[in-house]
Amino acid sequence: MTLRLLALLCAAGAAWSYVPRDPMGANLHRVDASNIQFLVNQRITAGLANADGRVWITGDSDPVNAIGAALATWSGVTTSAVRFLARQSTPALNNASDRQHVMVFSDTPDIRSVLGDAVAVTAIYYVVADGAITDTDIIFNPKYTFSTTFAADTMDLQSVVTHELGHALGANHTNVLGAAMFQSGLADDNCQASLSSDDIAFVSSLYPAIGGNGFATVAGRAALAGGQPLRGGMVTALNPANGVTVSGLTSLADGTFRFQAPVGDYLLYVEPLGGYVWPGNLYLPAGVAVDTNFQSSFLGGNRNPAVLTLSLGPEINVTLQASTGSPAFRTPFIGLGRTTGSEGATFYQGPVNLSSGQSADLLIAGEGIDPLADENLQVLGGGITLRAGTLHKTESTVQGFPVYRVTVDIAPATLRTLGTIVLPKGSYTVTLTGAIVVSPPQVVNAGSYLGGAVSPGEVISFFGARVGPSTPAYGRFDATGVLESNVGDVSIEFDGIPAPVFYAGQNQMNVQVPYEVATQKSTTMVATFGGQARGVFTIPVKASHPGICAVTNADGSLPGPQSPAAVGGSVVIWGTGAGIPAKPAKTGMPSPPNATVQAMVTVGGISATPLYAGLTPGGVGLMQVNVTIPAGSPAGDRIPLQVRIGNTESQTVYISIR
Amino acid sequence: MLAMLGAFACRATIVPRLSLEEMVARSETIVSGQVARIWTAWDGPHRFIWTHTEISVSNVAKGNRSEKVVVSEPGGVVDGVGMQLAGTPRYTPGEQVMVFLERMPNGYLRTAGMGQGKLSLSPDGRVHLTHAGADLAGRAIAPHRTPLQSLEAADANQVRRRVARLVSGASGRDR
Repeated sequence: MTLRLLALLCAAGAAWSYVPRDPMGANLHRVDASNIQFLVNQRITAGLANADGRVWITGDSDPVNAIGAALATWSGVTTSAVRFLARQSTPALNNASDRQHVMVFSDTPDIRSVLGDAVAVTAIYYVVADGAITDTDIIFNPKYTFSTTFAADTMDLQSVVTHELGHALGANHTNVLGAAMFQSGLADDNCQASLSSDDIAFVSSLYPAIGGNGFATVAGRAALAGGQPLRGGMVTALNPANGVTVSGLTSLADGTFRFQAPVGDYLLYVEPLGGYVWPGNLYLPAGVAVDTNFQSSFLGGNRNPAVLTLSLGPEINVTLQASTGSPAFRTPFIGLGRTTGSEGATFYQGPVNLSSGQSADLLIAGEGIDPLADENLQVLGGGITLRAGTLHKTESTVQGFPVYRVTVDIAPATLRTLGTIVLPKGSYTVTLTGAIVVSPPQVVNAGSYLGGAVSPGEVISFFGARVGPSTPAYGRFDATGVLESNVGDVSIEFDGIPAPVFYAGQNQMNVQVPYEVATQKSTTMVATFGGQARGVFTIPVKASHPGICAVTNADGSLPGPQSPAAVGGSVVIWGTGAGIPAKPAKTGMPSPPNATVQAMVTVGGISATPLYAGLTPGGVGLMQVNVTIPAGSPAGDRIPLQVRIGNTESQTVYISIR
Repeated sequence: MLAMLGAFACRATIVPRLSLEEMVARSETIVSGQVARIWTAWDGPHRFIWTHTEISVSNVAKGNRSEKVVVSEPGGVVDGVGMQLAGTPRYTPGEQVMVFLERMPNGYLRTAGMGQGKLSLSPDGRVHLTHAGADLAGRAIAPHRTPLQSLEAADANQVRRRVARLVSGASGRDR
């Protein structure tokens, strides 16, 4: 493995399909790529406080599983050989020379000094002679609060870890705004918990899977007018059909580049640094010339770009000719708003997130943008269509610049993809590469956050980007005692049957699946907000689909280390997804008493028959299982507990037992 | 239970990008000058390599008047071992810069805002940004502030005057 990697690196004279970590120095790489062992410092627990006593990890977070999910995200790239081993706990902290890879929450003056304003950093230690990474420690900033619940003003831990693991693999930042390796991320956002095509190209190119990654290679040279080499330009291959977007950096010496990307038909262009990403963000050395005085330039010309077919076989060589000139306008601000009006717009200087299958308003403002006509705006990829006749100038301004607004319609999609904004204006073109992240909406059990199916009466969460009102709305019982099905201008129907709504927020809705779907093998869910469809899903129906929200002791305390459950004592398991009970319940109405189901509980590997299993009397769609901790249950602070109803098991949760 | 389900909600909140006003406010030292020399060393506990950059000062906008200022950034190479942190600013001997510097808990002066506080000065007397944003911190637009992006290619003397007015508490905008 090591020899193969070194051979690949030696063959890579120019940049690969990602930005090399140090374009003027060693190409950093791991020699343990197929079995990387990260250790998680044992201080990383929910409720951790920093040295000032401020919350560092919120108490309702599950940091260990979030870290595990981030490791699995990189390990799950099938075109790459990278595999992270299961995380292990350690008392060790960061240490440059112990050759251990440790994730650390430690609040010391030294660590605060190293972190500065960064949310987290990966301290990478390597052998200068060959670029081999010897030690990578991921360190989290005590000045920020992390969570796994999208709590207000917190950083999503899984997103941060995913980004930092990219650095630990040798990745630099990228100009693809919607990539996990983009230098900035939003609070309360998990956009960077997923890998973009650019991230996947990086890890697949540097660490190809055994037998190869199946990617095509494009190489060539970028040149300025007059033929001089274009140094430090961002070259991007963009497949408009599926949004695959992969970028690399031209050589700082001679303007050459070399790319790997999935096979397909691409547009190829070079854009200057200096928009959302500057040379310093890519750790380019100071004092080395980086050409920025050119416009985004497509292969074949900006008026009629050529389609470049990338296929397996010999690498394809091209020359990208850039047009020089001063920009007519600066990188614009982009924002999102509802299609129904001018209120509620949010602006970003980074990617914007949308769900597939929805419509939204895209807002653009900035120096030199005004006036903006239809021919000055395109979106490539992401299944995004600009709705004809909707582009207009609003009365709003940002930084004194008038805001333009256009409605975009996004085709349904099952995979995360990217859209790139192209602004051709006069003789100048600006590209915002991967500026729109299109995510497939998700429907999951509200207790377990696991999807794949629904059951009659289950409470589900529907996640999507801006699928509901910016001000959260909560469902109420109407005069007939039924939970409302139209809340905050949101409604969800299953096979045409309105679903009672518990909660409607900008990015999440919680509703009950009507019991009426019980006779179906699958159900079609249509989510609507503001009269427009925000997602259409066909979901298998199971007789039961249990998910656990919480486990409490009989006195209501949580069975954690402070108040462990006792063998012979009872705990109450709260959740949803019990299915149809013996005594019928009605959609949207409080459950009757004794609406029981057949269930089995496993505690520490030992089965136990519940004292009660069924719907929570008075609750809507909620499940309650009362069980006695069986004799012989192991003691400890991480004893697994699981509920089985019919043929379906819940997720595993952990409790303390003494 | 309704409240519990509601508490799972996602919200999009944005952490502000540093404006010129914020940069001035949080900086202990703001100087212009030329990078004179650079050296690297391990810290005391041998946990991090730091690169130290001595700047020969030609203009002080904030802080003590001194002929030299040392800026320290994590990362560098010592005895064949390299340490890198993505996005940290880098300097090179001879480079002309305007820097906004914050005092760190370990006593070092660092470039403010993870590199946002380093402006390169070109021979034609203009300032140039080197960094946008900070590692993973979300950025937003503060309408009443001066975005650093607006300083790109601005006249260095004008920027110095604007900074001086901010330091003295006056409005930072040119009239």
